[in-house]
Amino acid sequence: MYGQRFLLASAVIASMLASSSAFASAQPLASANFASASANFTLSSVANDEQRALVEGERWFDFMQEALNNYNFSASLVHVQGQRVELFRWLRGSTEENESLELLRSLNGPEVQIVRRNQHVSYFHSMATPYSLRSNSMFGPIPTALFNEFSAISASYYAVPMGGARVLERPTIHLRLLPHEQDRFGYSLWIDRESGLPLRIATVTLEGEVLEQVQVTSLEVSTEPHPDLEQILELNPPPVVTDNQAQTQLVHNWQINSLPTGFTQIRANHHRLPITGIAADYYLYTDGITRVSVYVTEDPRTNTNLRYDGLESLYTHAYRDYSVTVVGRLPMATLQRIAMSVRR
Amino acid sequence: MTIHQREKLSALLDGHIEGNEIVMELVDNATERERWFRYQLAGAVMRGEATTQQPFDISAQVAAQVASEAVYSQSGSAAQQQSVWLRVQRWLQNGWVRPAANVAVAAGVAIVAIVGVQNFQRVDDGTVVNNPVAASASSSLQGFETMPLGGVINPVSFNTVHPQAEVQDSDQERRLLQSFFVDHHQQQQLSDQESVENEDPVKEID
Repeated sequence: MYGQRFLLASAVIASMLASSSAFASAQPLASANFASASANFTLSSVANDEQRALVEGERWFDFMQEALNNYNFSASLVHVQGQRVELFRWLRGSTEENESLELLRSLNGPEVQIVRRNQHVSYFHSMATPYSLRSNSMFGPIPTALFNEFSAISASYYAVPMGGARVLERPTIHLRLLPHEQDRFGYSLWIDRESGLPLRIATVTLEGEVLEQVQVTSLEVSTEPHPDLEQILELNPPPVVTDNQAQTQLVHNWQINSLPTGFTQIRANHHRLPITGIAADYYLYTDGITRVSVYVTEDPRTNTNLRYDGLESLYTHAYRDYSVTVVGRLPMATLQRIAMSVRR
Repeated sequence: MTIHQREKLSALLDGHIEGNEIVMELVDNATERERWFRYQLAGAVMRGEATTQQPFDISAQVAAQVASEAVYSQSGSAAQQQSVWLRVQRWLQNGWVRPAANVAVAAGVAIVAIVGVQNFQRVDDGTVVNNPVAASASSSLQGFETMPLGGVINPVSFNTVHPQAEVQDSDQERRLLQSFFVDHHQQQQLSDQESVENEDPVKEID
C-alpha cells in the first residue's frame, strides 16, 4: 500500500514536470490574445449607451446560466493554472424524470472524478477517501458563480459585452465581469452565441495578466443526455460529510474593519485546522464569485509572517498576542489590508 | 541481468547471501549500479528511513575507510576480495552516485506528498484537546479530504530549493500553508452545503 502511494506520487511529479515544460511555450500566446482584447475595450462615454451595454451583458450572463443548468451536453476542456495544465471530460444532462446529472473526470494524471446527482455531489480521488456534499454545483475548474443568476454577483461586478470572437470554430460573445472596486480579479467569458455555453473562461488581474483559464476543446449539445451519465443513477454514493462545525461558537468577537465592499459573511465558527490542529476563530466571506477565509488564532505557531503568492494567496499578520491569516483568490494587497484591520 | 540475477541482488541486499560475483557484476555494469541504488532507496522508503537530509553520497567515507584498512596478504580469496574493494573504491570516486541525487530530490518531494495526504485531519501535535466541541468538530470530518484536481496538495510542495539551514523552517512553513489552504477549501464546500441545507432542510437522497 505504502509502496503504491509512493509510485503514485512519483507519477504525479513526473506528469507535472512534463506538463510545465510543455506549457512554457504556450503562455505568451495566451496573454497576448488577452492584451489585444483589453486594448479594444473602451466604455462609452454616453451614459445611456453604457446602461444599454450593461443590460445586454446581464442578459448574456443569464443566457449562459440557463444553458449550463438545462442543456444536455458533452465537452472536453483544458484547465490551465500557472504552470499546470489539466484535461477534463465534462458531461451534463437532464433525465426524463427531471433529474439533473453532471460528471467531470480528469484525463491526465491521477484519476479524479466529480459526480453530481441533483444536489448530491460526490468527489472521487485516487489518493483520497471519497466523500459527498450537498450542493447545487461541483467545486471544479468551472467557477460555481456561473451556475447562478447575475443578480447574485451584480453588487460587485459589471457584465460588459466586448463584442464577438471566434472560439472553437463558433461565433461567441466576449463578456467581461469587471469588479466595481479595484481590489479583486476580473473574469472574461466567451459565450457561444447559439447555445449560450461558455467556451472559454479566464481569471484576469487588474493589470491584464491571466491567472487561470478554462478552454473548451470539444462540445456537443444533444437532445438526449449522454449515455455515460446513466451510470450515475446506479452509483452508490459515498456518505455525505457531516458538518458539526457550522454551529460551533466563536471564542472572541473579532472586528474586521476593512472588508472589501460587496463581501458578505457566509460562515463563522471555531474549529481546528487539518494537518496542524491549530484552533482558530473562522470567518468566510463572498462577493458572489470569490471567497475569502479569515482565521484568527492565538496559536504561537502562526506567529510568523507567512505569505504565499499565487492565484490563491495567503497572508498572515502577527499581532502581539494573536495572529490573523487571510486566504483567498484576491490580490495580495487586499488580503494584507483585511489581515491588518482585525481588532479584538 | 536476468530475473534470477535480480533475485540474487535483492537477496544480497537483504543480507541473505554473500557473493563476490554479484558484486563484480554490479561494479562493471552502470545500469546495474543504478538498479542497486533504486532497490536500496525503495527499501529505505518502505522502512521509513529515507529522509531528504540523509547524505546519499558516502563515497568519501568509504574511500577513507578503505584507505585505512590493513593491506591483505596476497594469497587466495583475500586478494580477490581486495581487488573487489579497489574497484568499488574506483567507481565510488568516479561519481556513480551522482544520478542518485535527482532521485533523492524526487523521493523527498514524494514523501512530503504522502505524509501530507496521510496526515489530513489528524490532530497529533501533542496538545491536549480541552474543548470537547472543537474536538468533536475536528473528528467529525474524518474522511473528508479535499484534494485539488491535479492531485498535488499545493504548489508549495515544489519549493524544494532552500539553503540547508532553512530546511527545517521551510518544512514547518509548508505544513502551515497546506493546513490553511486545505481548510480554506473544506470550509468553502461546507458553507455551500450549509446554504443548501438552509434552503431545503429535508434530505431526499435515495
